[in-house]
Amino acid sequence: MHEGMSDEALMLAYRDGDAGAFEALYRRWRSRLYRYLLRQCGNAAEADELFQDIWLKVVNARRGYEVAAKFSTWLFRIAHNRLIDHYRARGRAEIASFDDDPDDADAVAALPARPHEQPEALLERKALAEELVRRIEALPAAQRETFLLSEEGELTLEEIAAATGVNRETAKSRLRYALNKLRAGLKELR
Amino acid sequence: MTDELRDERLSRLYRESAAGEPPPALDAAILAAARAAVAPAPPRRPGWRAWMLPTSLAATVVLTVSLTLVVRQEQERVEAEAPPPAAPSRPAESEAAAPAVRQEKAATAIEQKAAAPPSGLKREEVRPQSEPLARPAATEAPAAPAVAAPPPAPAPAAADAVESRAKAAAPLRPEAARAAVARTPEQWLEEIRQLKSQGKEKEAAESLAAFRQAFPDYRLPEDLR
Repeated sequence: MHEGMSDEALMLAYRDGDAGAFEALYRRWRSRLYRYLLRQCGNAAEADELFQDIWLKVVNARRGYEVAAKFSTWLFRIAHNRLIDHYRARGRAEIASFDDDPDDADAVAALPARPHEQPEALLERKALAEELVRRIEALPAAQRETFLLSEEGELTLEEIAAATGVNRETAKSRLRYALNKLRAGLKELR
Repeated sequence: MTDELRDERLSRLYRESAAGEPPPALDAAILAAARAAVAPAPPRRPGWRAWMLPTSLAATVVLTVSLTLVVRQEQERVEAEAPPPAAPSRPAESEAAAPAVRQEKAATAIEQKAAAPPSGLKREEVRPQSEPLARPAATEAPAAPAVAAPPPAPAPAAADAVESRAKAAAPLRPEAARAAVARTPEQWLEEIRQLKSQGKEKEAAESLAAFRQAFPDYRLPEDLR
């Protein structure tokens, strides 16, 4: 019944009282949002807490929902704001990267290959993928978020800019830095 | 999508590594909260039902007060209009309609009787079986006028009728008649016994006749039959 509906139509249906529409929407986005949070927090317990908060915000914001943007942009903007609050509450250093976006202060460049995982062993694709995740998690928070919004949220640069409250050029710059570092890191392993 | 910066190889590798799912319990909690948020609220009680209890209580109070006032007014009216000759002319009731001066005299008489009980038999020994029925009306009599409103116009006429009846009945002294109005049957019978013991047979008989008239249902003790 809800299969062919767009995300926005599902959210409007939920606003009008269709609980099944919310469930369809939730099934579409639950894994992507969760991974976005998990990579950003690096901690499953914290990701669980944020994940629940964000979806409850969606539930509570249903009355005022209007289709002003893609649902995914709206969802990840809520997630971004919640994440910033989370960083502030815990005094995490990640918050600095959203303000200054320090390009060379990230840990990827300094990330050494694990001693027991020499390039020869990492040629296996699974191991290579795991190393990619490790390097993503080592990116500065703002760059990491931009990469995750692109991959998990499938957002355009404009949408990433709208979700994170920056202009398009800043979003583009962050994504470029992120991709370059990840490519460089993987090249080292090949 | 971020096409201009898209790195398909990197994206494919990332998707292969993309592990991480929310726990099922979290899914269940969020979906339950979402369903509850749009669940139809239970039907609210109509507004008038919220007022049902206080309104019924207020109505009960108003009804009770109204009934009390109506009953009291009716009692006063009956007391005022009661024709003494037809009435059983129980001493207590006659006294209730009498002027305040008589009430005071009656009360004095009762006090005197209580202060100097007659010698001989104790009151309990001569108390007949029917006393519990007769006693309350007599003992409550002095209090009744205090509750009643000032006697309306017909009341003095009723009191006079009682007095004239007492005079016509016999040479019973007026003060004795008044005293009889307020005393208990036992006290009255005791007085009759005293008259007999003093040899005043005639007065005793008259008093006994008046007693029978006042208490037609009272079962006389054997010594006075």
